[in-house]
Parts: sequence; structure tokens; C-alpha cells
Amino acid sequence: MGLLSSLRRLYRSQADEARILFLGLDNAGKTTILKLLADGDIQTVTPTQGFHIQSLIYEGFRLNVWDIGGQRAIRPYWRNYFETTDALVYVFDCADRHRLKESGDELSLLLEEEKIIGVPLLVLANKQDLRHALPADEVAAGLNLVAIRDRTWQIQGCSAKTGDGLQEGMDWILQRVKNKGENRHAR
Amino acid sequence: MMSQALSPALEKKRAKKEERLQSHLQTYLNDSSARRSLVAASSDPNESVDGFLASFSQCRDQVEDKLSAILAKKSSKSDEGALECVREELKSLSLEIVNMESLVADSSFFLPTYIMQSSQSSITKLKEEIEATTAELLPKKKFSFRSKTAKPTKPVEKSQEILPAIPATVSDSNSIGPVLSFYGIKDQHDCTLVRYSQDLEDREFMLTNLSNCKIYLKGMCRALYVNKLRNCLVCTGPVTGSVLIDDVEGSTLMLASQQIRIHSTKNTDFYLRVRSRPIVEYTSSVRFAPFAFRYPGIEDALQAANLQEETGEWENVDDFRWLRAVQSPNWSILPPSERICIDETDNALKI
Ligand SMILES: Nc1nc2c(ncn2[C@@H]2O[C@H](COP(=O)(O)OP(=O)(O)OP(=O)(O)O)[C@@H](O)[C@H]2O)c(=O)[nH]1
Ligand SMILES: [Mg+2]
Repeated sequence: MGLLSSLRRLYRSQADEARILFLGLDNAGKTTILKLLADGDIQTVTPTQGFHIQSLIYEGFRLNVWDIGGQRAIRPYWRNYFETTDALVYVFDCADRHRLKESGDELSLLLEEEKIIGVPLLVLANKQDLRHALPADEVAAGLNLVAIRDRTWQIQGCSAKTGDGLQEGMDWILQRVKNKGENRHAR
Repeated sequence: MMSQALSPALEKKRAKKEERLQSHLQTYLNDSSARRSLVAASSDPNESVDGFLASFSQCRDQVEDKLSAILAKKSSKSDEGALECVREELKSLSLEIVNMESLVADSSFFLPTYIMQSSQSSITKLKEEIEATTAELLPKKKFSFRSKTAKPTKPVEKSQEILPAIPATVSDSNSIGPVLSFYGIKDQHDCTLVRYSQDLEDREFMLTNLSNCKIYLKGMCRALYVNKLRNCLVCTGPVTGSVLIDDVEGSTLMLASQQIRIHSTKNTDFYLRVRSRPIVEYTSSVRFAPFAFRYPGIEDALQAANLQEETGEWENVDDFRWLRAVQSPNWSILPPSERICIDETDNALKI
């Protein structure tokens, strides 16, 4: 582990701050969810070219969220953002049934990445406001979440359009990162 | 055709066409007692589950009876006239099905989920039966057209084209779990289909596995998912969320949306109104032009979706597989002389 990352770890170990990574296929709603949590204006969200960072303050806790673009051509770059991640949020567009498998494949590749082994995982089953959205339990089955053994995980149905489910999701994240020491395996 | 004032000749033609359509509808309504009860049921201000069940089962029984009648006659003779007759009968059964779907869609807001589901599955079953019967009794009929040269405003040849506004509930027979897994148009070939705002309003819509089809979505929806199109023309009103396109070839798409992502597409023209840079990936030989679809009411819909202005974003295409500064070889601007315009403003009822 290089000097830079040791420094980052030191910095991160401040008790009231955490680094969260938002991943998922393009069009899943990652940026929209963050915009809604940050300032409520979701009208002007554009597809993410590289990444964008959003700070969210919850109960005096600062979450630095890294929102990475999910287009297929840029997914290989996801791994550049793994360092010192405290929690992983994986977003799925529940109306996009065609890509449930593709999304599951990307997730299982992610979960094998050494740098984020043991990092708590929250799956957001987004766009529940759409009428034919897959319910969260079917997404869980489709993504084969039950096979996950090496970390705590949770799935939460939500909608960035209505805000439903996001509070619950963020509460879960907050709980995990507040006692991050207990969740993480040694790296 | 281009937008311009109607000539008297065109005006007359349109009036005639509407008259024909009207009389066709009238005959159809008179003929079908089931349709009458449908109309009664769906215009009833105190929508009741019982009323729905009664009309629905009446329709279902009627379709089933007609279907067995058709099957019973099949052995008698097989000359051209008899075949034509069978074809007509099957066609009218398909219309009945569409009406049943429309009844379910209209009643969906007061129906309990389990009744929705069971009606959906009876409809699916009837459709399968009709399909099986069609396959058994009728030789395959072939249609085709080339989307690039087709003139969408010219009256066309097919049965579905004389239908009025129809909700497009199509249930997916591979449905996983209790939620209806599909809403949109699926597995269609060689046909023209129109959906109006009441069929689309504020929900997502899918176009899946279509070839040689012309699809007009004359209303607003929340999200559009397009998958596997060959030689199709697709024109839509505004999509308030995003459009996701995958695996399209030899087609023309006119779309208005906040975001548009295009994957694995070839030889296709896009006419876009969009509020962020259109994205392409794993795509080649696609061309872009500004949105050029009109139908009565589109201006209001665009306004409501905040898409009334042309901001010119359609030409700022981003190829995610081409991160260099020079122009991507995978897409180009459609030369103005080759651009088309689909104007359905004088064709409110035509499909
Ligand atoms: N109906 C509905 N639409 C949503 C929801 N969340 C996001 N969207 C829409 O989905 C589209 C994609 O959202 P983005 O936030 O840009 O998706 P993303 O995951 O950041 O995509 P990339 O940046 O390409 O990786 C936008 O048009 C959003 O308005 C939701 O909960 N419901
Ligand atoms: Mg994004």
C-alpha cells in the first residue's frame, strides 16, 4: 500500500466522515438519487461522463459520495475509485428488466474486487414509481444477493422521483459507516 | 409530409377517410353486444368490480364461443372464400381482445390486484388460443415495407390500422412474479400501431422485438425502453425521464426526452429533442437530426415536459467508445436535404 493511500486512510479515519461509492449500470438513477438527497432538483440531471462527488451531511456525519458513470464503455474505470471505500451503494433501474442479468454480472465482478472486500453493500432497487418496476425481492433474487457471504448487505426499494425508500437506505448506510471498524475486514 | 396548410383536395380526402373510419367503427360497435357492455361499463361513473367482472366474463365467453365455432367449421371446405371468412372472424376476435385489454386498463385503478392478474392471464390465454388457431387455419400472409422510403401519412394496408385509441397492455407470458412485467409493444412485425396519451400517461413504455413496424406514440410517458428493432419507424411524444435504446438496426427514431442513451445500434437515423448530450456506445453509422414529429397536442405535451424549445443539444453527441478529440467515425449529422418530417396533425384518427 502506497504512501498516498495510507495518508488517505489516516484522513478517513476521522470518526465523522465516510467515503461512499455509488455504482450501477448507466440510466440506473445514481446521479438523480444523489441530486434528490442533496438539493431536491432532479430535472436537470445529465448522464455522467466520468464521476462526480457529492457531500451529504447526516446527523453531523459527512458522507463523501463518489458517483461514477455506468455506461458500459467506462465501467472498467470503476476500479480506480475503490480505495478506502466505507460503503458501496449499487443502484438498479427496476424497470430495466432486460438488463437485470447484465447488472448482476457487473455486481458479481465488483464483489470479487480485493480492494472492496468486506465493504457493506446497499442495493437500491430504484424507480419503484414506475408501474412495472421489479419489486425489491425479485431484484435480490435476480442479482443473487443471497450468495453474498463476505459482507453485510441490504436491499431497499426506492424512487428518486418520489423519494420513497431513500431515507431508509441512507439510515442503513449511516449505521454501517458509524461502526465501520467492526464491519471492515483488515486490508 | 411537411407541415403546411391543407389543400382543399387533401381536406376532402381526410374527411372521406374519417367518414369511412367512423362508419367502420359504428358497424363494429353495433355488431358487438360485448362491446356495448364494455362501453357501458367503462363509462359508468360508479365503477364497480362486479360490473367489470360481468362484462369481462361476457367478453371472454363470447370470444371462446366464437373460437370454437371457427374451429368446428374448419374441416368443411378450404377454398379462398372460406379462408377469407375465417381471416375476418379471427381479426374480429383480435379486436375483441384489444377491447378486453382496454377494459382492464381502464378499470385498473379500482380493481384489486388479484382480479387484474387473473384478467390479464385470461387475456393471455385467449390470445394464445387465437394465435394457435390462426397458425393452424391460415397460411402465412406476408407484408413488408422499407422504413426509409415509406410515407407514414399515406393510408396503409393493414387491419390494425383502422383501430382507434387502444391501451397497449400486453402481458408477458414469461412473467416472473405477480407484477405485470411488460407494458408496451412487443414481438410485432409488419404493422403500424398508434398509442395515444391516455395509454401512455405518466408510465413507462417498452418497444421490444419489432420489425418492419411503424410505431407512433402520441402522448407523454415517464420512461421509454427500446430493445431489438429492425427496419422500424418510431415517433414519440415527450418522455419526461429518459430513453434507453439497445440493439436497433436500419430504423428511424424520432424522440424527445431529457436523456437519451443509445447502445449497440447500426444504420439508424435519430431525430432528437434532448436536454443533455445524446450518448452512443458500441454504435456505428448512426445519423442525427433535430426532432420533427408533430401530432395534435404535441406542443402542450412538450411544454409540460419542458421540452418545447429546441436547444440544439441533438448534435452534441457523445460517443463513449471514442474518447479522442477528433470527431467519432461512428456518427454524423444527417444532411438537411435527407431529413424527413412526420406530421400527423391532420391525421388525428389515422394510424
Ligand atoms: N421514474 C423514475 N425515473 C428515474 C428515477 N431515478 C432516475 N430516473 C430517471 O432515470 C434517468 C437516468 O438517471 P441518472 O441519474 O442520470 O442515471 P445514472 O445512474 O446516474 O446514469 P449514468 O450517469 O449514465 O451512469 C433520468 O432521466 C432520471 O430522471 C426514479 O426513481 N423514477
Ligand atoms: Mg450519473
